[in-house]
Amino acid sequence: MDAKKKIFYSRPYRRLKFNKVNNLLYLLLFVMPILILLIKSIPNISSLMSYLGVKVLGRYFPGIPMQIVNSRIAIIGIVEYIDLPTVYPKIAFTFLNFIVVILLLIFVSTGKRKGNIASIFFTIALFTHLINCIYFIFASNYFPYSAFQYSDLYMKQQIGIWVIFAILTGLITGFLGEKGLFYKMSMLIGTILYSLVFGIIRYILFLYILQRFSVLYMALMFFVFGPFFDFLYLVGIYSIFMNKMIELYESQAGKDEWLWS
Amino acid sequence: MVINILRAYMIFTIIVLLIYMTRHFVFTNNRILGRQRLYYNDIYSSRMKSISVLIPMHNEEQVLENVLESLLKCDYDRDRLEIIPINDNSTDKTRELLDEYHRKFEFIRPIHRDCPDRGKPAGLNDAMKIARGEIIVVFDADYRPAKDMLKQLAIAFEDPEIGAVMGRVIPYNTNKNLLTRLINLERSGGYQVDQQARYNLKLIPQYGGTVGGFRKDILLKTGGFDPLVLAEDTELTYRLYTSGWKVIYANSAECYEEAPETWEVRGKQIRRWSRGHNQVLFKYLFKTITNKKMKFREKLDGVLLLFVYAVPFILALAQFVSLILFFLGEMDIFSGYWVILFIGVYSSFGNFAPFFEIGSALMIDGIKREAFLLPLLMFNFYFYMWNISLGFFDSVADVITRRKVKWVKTERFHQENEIEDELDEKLLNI
Repeated sequence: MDAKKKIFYSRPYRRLKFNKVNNLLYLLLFVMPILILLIKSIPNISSLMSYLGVKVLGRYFPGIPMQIVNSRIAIIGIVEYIDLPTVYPKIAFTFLNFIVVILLLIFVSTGKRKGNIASIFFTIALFTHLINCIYFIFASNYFPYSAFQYSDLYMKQQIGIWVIFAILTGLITGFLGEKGLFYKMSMLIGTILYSLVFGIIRYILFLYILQRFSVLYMALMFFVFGPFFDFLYLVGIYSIFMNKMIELYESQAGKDEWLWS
Repeated sequence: MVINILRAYMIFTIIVLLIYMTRHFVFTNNRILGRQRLYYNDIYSSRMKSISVLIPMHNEEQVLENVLESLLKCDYDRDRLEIIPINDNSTDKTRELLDEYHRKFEFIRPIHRDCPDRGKPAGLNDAMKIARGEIIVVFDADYRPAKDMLKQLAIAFEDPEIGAVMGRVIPYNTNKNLLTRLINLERSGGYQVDQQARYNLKLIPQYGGTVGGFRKDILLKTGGFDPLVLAEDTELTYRLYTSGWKVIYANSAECYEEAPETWEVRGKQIRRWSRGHNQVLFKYLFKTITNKKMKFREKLDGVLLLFVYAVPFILALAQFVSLILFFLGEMDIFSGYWVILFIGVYSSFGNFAPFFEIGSALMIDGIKREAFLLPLLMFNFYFYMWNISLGFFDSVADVITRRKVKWVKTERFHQENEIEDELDEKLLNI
């Protein structure tokens, strides 16, 4: 075995220095105001989302009756969203989806692909759509949602994601030692901004899909590309943040921040 | 009525997940910011307790030399040490190789088992009958104990409260592929943060079946390992706590293992762990709740730990229920709770630590760049949910049918020289 070029600090019992006052100040003077600002801005953000949605959808579907409606949510205030017609799938289209899903299910769950993470993920996703197709083949008249209801629920769900992501990110960054204030602030603001942009684009895209391809894809959008997908970018941003923090605490500037108890 | 039951189940799931998320959050902050409870590193004993090192083996000709050579280099009085490799129905050259070691070193005393009841618990029971040591230390055949490992583990038993000790497990083949890198992340979170935090908070650090030791007399007095339980390590943890003993975690006692390199092998391993852990859940849940020797905090953590491999099944069922509710027109239940549910899903998943726990573990370990892999844990989540749920069904079937479990060894991937190279590379970077 080669000799070590560098002897690293012992890792088993080290911990970060923690100043309660500084961390409390970070939470009270930075996280809390941003959270309040976010909550207060949600009515305006929902207006912007609806406005952009109507603009974009109007370009692709000229002449369809579309309007912006609103409802009141406790604490948040008046929230706007788009009301648009519901497009139901034709039976031939549903059958086509059913056959394609069956073929894809066979493909992802057989051969060398069987049992790996991608296979299981896609099997569960496709299974959701398969159930959906069967439902529309046998009971499409009983489908309980309209595009309007979906639009309303998406907005409420998205507001939940924004608020909870802000709280979660604030808590994660708020208890991570003394250094890296810039990274912590960037993580919080970056997550909220990305979440806002992603939420707006996805809202318009989902409404476009409902209008273009019918409500057949509603379950898929809800269960596979819904809130669970938001975690992908949350953890993605977190991973960049943590890598920066690790580099910082392993550098000359961060070495004095460790305690061995 | 049905809808109300389904709704109630969803709310139950959300509450369960929030409890686990809070638990992980407390552990993470305790580990990264709190005062750490040290192991007995600074204690020396002029007369260490006598130990028997047990190494279960089934067709281990590829790797047995590594573990035996490492143990031979260990710093421990030879007159207080014996090594008992348990050759469990091997069909390769394990027997010949072990007998050769026995000829060279008298204190290596292999036992050869050629009987139908193959398995780690049964093998350990047989070995304990002939073991001379007061303390039993167990290593898997692919492990590479460091020079001071035996002393580090054995010193814990100078404390009369301690029934078992557990060291830290680190994969050495982390650079092999994506799977081994992801396992390394989970191991880091699971040991550096989770186990150490539970030790700090005087909860229940878990004995993990290898890189650890226990008092032989406790096991023998209580009938040895139960061969019907696949997770003999978890079973021992609960047996000790419900009898008034403590398990101690030695974060500084690091030992290297080979992580599975294919998804198929990993899936089988996870399913087996789930089956074994859930067998312990059914056996010890009531005993843990009603036990008078355990403190409240130990009971609380004990119950949560018992359910760790049931939670993914609860989640899988919740996903199915949510699909039913969706088609029954009850989507509004998710508009508020759904988001919280998924936070819980991602944050509380089993003993495979959530992303912020792993991130903190990587920071403490000083491992750069690997944090970029964290988003991929999302796909792993489905993989685990599937295999752990299957393991849960296996354990339920075990309870109902009282069938005999079949012990299956995790497939090995490396030859001795490859292990040497990978371990050297790993050791240079810590």
